[in-house]
Amino acid sequence: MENTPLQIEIQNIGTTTLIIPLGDIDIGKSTELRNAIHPVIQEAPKRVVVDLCHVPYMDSSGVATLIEGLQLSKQSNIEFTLCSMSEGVRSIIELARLDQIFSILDSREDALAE
Amino acid sequence: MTTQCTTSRCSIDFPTVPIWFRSIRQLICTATLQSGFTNRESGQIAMAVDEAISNIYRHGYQGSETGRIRLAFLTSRTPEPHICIEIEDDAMQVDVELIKSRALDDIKPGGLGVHLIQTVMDEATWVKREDGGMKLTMKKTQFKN
Repeated sequence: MENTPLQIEIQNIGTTTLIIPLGDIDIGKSTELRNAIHPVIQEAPKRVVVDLCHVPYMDSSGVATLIEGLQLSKQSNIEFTLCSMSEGVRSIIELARLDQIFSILDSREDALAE
Repeated sequence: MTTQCTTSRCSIDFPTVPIWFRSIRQLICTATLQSGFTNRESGQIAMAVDEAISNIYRHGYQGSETGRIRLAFLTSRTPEPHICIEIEDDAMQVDVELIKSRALDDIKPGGLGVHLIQTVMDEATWVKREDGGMKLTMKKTQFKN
């Protein structure tokens, strides 16, 4: 078994920065997501969108990383949005009752159109 | 003539190396799907097991990858889909009273694992093992209307 790093694409589209993690986000990978989100927020774009379409599974450490991102963004008046959640990610967000806390959109197109 | 297997039984002893945890999730998914749980139920049971072993890694062994975890489970398809899971470790013991979910209206990173386990599973019981370490027993039976 090879422990490959979590791939994360970052795209700047207008005033929005799009973060696209590729793969499961569990206790072994959530630090890598955190290390990608924090510098993006420090650059202070108008909006940060985390596209979760390529994340089949996320555990509570991944959710904690997203909560940190949301809270850091709020401190800097940055919009923080999640989009394209898989069934696995939606399940944990709902079980943690965070679906009313995060701004969640169905697709990347919806997120970029806002 | 073919017969459908109605039960599975498995035990595995693995190190607290996070790359193992994905394989454990896949193992639980296979066993629960084969015993008749839905995709959603199967994913949630695998998540509960993942949260339990991640807690052992993070808190029990304090991030050490030299710890051991022993997982055993039994699934059955009849009379309804059912799984019984036991997870043992040799890690630092904790008072059972301290293992509890945090208030969800207090939005902050961390502390969700126990809530997820208790929400997904019908039963989740932690005890201190006499030989040291902890033992978690979890059960889930598919609810049908």
